[in-house]
Amino acid sequence: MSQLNDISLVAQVVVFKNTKAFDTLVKKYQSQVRRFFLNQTLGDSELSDDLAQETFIKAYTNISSFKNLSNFSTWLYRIAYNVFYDYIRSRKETSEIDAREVDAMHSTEQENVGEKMDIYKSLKMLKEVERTCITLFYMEDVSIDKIAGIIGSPTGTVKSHLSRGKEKLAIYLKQNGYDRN
Amino acid sequence: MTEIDDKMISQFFQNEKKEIKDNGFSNKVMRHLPNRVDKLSNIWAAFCTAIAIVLFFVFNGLEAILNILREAYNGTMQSSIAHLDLKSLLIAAIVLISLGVKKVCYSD
Repeated sequence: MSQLNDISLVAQVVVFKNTKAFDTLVKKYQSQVRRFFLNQTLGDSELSDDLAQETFIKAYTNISSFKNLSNFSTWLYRIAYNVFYDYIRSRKETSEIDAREVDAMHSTEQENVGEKMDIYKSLKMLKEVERTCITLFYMEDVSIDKIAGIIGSPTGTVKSHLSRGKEKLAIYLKQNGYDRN
Repeated sequence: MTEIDDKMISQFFQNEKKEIKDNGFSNKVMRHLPNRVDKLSNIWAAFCTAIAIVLFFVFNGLEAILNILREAYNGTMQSSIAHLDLKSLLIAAIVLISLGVKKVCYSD
């Protein structure tokens, strides 16, 4: 039902350039897209909102390329993933520092958010791609097949990212007493 | 990696999953859509055009243009008859003809 509703809204945007229909889509998906970026940037809310805004603008300008082969949310995650990796690449090109340093920089900039929450501390231990797979799988309930489509890798690769990420997280959570809950 | 670990991680992420309130985010996105920017620039262009048309009639623009054209025509006719340089005219005609011939030959 929700999928049908999304298709109807997308059709209204494509055919009639109906911005109200797009506004409905933004309102519906803003939370999950912003949460996705918050997890990737380890709690940098300002950067997350900028990247989320860029994602929705790209979605709007390329909405005619949505072929309904996947859910609208999967398509949106794919754009969000590309926006994030474009950002990482641009940072790498300009500052010649690797992505882990970029992450560390953001987590210190947003100390009030990032350092207070265990979720961002735990995600900081993962590589970017592991973080993407883990958060999509466990927090957003996206299937492995869909994650493979989002990050553009085979399902086997996604499974190994998930496995490595899970191992690191299990150690962190046990060290912090989560296994006693 | 045990099933217990898997459950622990799953529970951890589900507990941390929070809905993010809109707080004006959607409005901000909608304000930055390219279509809206185009619309605003179209409105601004239409407004400027309307002002230009009004000023054109208020300051009798049509008459001013006719006067300028008339003066230019008269001036050109007088000076061209008085200072007609046949040599320059001939050179200009030869250059134009050669360019035309070149264009026709190359297009074939």
